Amino acid sequence: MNGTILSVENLTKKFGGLLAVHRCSFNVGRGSITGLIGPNGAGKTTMFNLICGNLKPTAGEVFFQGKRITGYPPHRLARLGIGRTFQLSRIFKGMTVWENLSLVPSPVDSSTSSVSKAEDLLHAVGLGHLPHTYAGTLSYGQQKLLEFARTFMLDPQLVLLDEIFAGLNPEEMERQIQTIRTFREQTQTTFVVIDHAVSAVLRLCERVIVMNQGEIIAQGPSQEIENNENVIEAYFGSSSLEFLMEEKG
Amino acid sequence: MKIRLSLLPRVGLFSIALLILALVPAIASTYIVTFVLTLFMYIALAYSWNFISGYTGYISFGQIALFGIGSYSCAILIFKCNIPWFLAAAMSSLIAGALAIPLGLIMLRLKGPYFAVGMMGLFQFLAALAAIWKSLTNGATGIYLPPVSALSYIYFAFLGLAVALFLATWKLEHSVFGLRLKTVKEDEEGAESVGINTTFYKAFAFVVSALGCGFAGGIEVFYVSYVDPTTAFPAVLNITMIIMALLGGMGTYWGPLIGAVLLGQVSEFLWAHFPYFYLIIYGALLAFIIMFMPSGIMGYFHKRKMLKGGGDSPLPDGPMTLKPATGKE
Repeated sequence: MNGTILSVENLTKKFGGLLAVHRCSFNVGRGSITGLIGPNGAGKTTMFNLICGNLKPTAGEVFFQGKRITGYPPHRLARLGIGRTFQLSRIFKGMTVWENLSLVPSPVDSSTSSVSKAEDLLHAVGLGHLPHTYAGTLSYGQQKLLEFARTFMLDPQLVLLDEIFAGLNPEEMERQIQTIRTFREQTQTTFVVIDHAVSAVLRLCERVIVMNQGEIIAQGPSQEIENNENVIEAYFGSSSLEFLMEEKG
Repeated sequence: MKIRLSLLPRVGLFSIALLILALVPAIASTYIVTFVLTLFMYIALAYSWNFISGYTGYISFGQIALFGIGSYSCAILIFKCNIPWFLAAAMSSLIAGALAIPLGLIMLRLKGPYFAVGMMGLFQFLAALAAIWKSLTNGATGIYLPPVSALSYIYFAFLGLAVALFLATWKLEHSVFGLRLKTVKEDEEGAESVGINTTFYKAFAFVVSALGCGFAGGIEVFYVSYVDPTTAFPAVLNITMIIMALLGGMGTYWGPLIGAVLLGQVSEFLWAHFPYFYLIIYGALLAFIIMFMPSGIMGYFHKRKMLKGGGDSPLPDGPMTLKPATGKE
């Protein structure tokens, strides 16, 4: 790992009286794959929205490549090199697959033409045979792949994937893990991944951050997190922890 | 810009159509000329509305507010500053466009039905303002202008405006810029996430729409030689321009033209043949269209094409087939 690409400091978001994200701090290493897990309502997606500018934080700062980016609008962050996908994919359903990619503004310092980039990306995610299909008629999994590919038209440094495995069968999930790894190897992109499929996240990611009720309750290498008591408690409740402890002896 | 051979027949047809339309004032009766120039105004307004509402999905129920701004600007420029009418109309287009920048940035913060109703409010507000601000607008008494010397001037002005807006829409439909504009309607948050400044695109569409509406207002005010709050902010025209674009298909480049010509003809026919029941039949017809063709005539064909599974990319550099996979992954 060579340095920090994303740094979140004491980030807080209040919705009225609800603390959706409370004083969260973490760093993401360049070129790493980091998981962000936690039960429903833990504040994971809110965290993504704060980083990507969809929400303005109540307090705290976000730094990207050492630059303060707190409160930047989403389109500006995208042009800086932060890509993201959404829980429910936000592709342009009334446009063709090809149009979905080719309308993305190309990065200022892009060396490859956007046409050849779009072609390569579509082949890489297995949509190369469907350039003129309307995106709205694609299957659910294909729509997620299209959104994933579209993000890479930005030549992103950092990609945030929200529930990338949701609704995929085990086989598709395995392929998705492979795709992310291939992209990381070829483009040196940094990934942050949210998902409820904890085992897949633990397998894919080198580091994992665990959130519960708006706070980070644990972070560290995947193997450590797997056996962390706080994490098991957050997911299954304290009684189950006792139960598990008894089981282990 | 390189000229593509496939465009030649279309350019040819377009030129012939223009030539025929240009000859109308010389050969047709005053009634026909009046009818056709009104059609051109409808076409221009339907295209203006289509820019903001058809492409970005921000449905405006008060775009005629900008027509009113154009009408008053033109009347005041002619009456108080003695500026030649066509120059005054062009200037009022620019005034409407300039005012649309702050108005758009405020109004476009509203979404969905709130924007629609907000624009209706703006339209009512401006109509009321025109009635109160007597020192500028002469209130309900209105401003009288010298009568039109030749009908053909008005005819060519509206023809030119309609053609300009048609060509602008055509250009938009065949450019990446237009594709990005449409992302606002498709998914605004998704568009932002891939680096599209949606605020800019929305404001742009709003300003272009205002330029068109303002110009139309300017020409119209000279045509009728009079302006007061009800003629500058006509409530019926406000709805008519929307329904024309809806009938033809909003967000398409043929839609407003087809809708305006069709509806213009139909209402003229009904008015002439059923003077007492005209509005009843007209209303029933509109209800029928909305129920059975909610996305308009062009939208209906577009949907069929979509269901058949794909279409040609209108983008100049979109390949029709992709080269075989390169083998990596």
